[in-house]
Amino acid sequence: MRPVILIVDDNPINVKLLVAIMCNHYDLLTTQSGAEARAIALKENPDLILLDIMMPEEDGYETCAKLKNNPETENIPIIFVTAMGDTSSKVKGLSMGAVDYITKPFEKDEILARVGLHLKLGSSRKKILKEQCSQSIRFRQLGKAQREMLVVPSEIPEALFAVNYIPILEAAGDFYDVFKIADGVCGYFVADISGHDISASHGTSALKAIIYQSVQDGDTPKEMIDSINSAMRKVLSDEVYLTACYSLIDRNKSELYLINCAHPPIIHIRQGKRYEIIRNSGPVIGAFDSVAVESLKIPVESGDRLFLYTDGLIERFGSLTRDMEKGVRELAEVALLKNELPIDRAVDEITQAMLPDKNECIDDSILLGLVV
Amino acid sequence: MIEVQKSGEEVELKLSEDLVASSVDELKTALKTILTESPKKITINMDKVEMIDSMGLGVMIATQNSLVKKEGTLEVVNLSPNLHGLFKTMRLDKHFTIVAK
Repeated sequence: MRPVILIVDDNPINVKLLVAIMCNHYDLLTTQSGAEARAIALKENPDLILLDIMMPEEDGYETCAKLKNNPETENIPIIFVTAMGDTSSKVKGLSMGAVDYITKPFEKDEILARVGLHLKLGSSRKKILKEQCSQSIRFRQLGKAQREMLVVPSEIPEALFAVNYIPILEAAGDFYDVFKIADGVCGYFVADISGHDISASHGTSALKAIIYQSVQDGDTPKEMIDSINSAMRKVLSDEVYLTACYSLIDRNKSELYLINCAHPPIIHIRQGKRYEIIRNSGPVIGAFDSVAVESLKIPVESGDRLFLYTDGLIERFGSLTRDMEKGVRELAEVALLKNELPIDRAVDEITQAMLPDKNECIDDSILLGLVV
Repeated sequence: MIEVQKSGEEVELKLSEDLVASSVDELKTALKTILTESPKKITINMDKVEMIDSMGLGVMIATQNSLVKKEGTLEVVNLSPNLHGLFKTMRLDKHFTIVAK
């Protein structure tokens, strides 16, 4: 059976366009009004709703709020479709429980990719909510869907990165993303959401959406962190926050811009000769209404390597600050030692050296290495 | 075990063990009750605490956010040098008062 998608847009041309893009893949229901959309959702229980924001009478926000307030429809994933790209509308939508944003004009590949991703995430969540299977199995299904939204190196060859991700906790809180910003300019983001409940897993899909939107909007690194903070503040539950580091590499200017939000320090291997541990820690994200971060600019050279990671990679050294320091230094030394290897093998061998026995791991771990 | 001492509109909680996933629920329950009374100030005494994990830090953050809404303040005292460093690294000292041992 094909998944059923409900398209809600007051503009018939947009509806036609979305139907043309998706009709080969999904069964589609369409309507031009929010109130009717709610009636259809109740009756047909679609797998996902694409919802326009700017509509006369009942706008998309109101429709979303009403769908989320009704126990019969609250778990249907909603993707907002909008011409508005500004941060406040993105955040408003995500905080109301939407899973993602698609901005006009429509890109066919983008729409199919994001709808496909959220159908997978949605069906995993549905199972979690409805099935009477054990918690570990339920989380495993969710974890699998979560990992499918992570970018792999072959998708962006020019980003020259490799990654080793060991998910231990089934609904993982570790997350990374790599994205092209302009020719010769790429962004690398690694985060660790505290806690490992459903809230953390919703957090990772919202993170993916907000980063994507922020790159589209041409945000500066600071603006991106601000957007993430506002969105996470609303999406995550009160006791959940995240630590993250964001590196923007401009290969044309040989510059690295770095923001670190209470995350373990980045390691910089200069020309295979020595390592530097970049300590520029800042505030946690998603905990407080505002976040004052500083972006550090560092000169880099072609052939330098940078390593971003989560604390799971150095966990066997202990979680107290003093012990963590030992772990960071050992990681830097191993990374320097493995500099002769291609980046993908280096990342795997460094992970192996840091976590020799995966059965003993108690936390997720990510190691992301990149070549300038 | 958490020892709760009230004096007027101020409450002090003394923790007797590390604040980690396994022990965090007890503190959450205690704080929930205390927060309904809208105290002017909550002090959390960490004298016996050597370790705090992300769940424990999450409770500190949530407590501060709830107190701000009620115009109360949070103070975390008797922090070991390690923990004091951790709170500062995460810039939590910009949101509530922290005091080292």
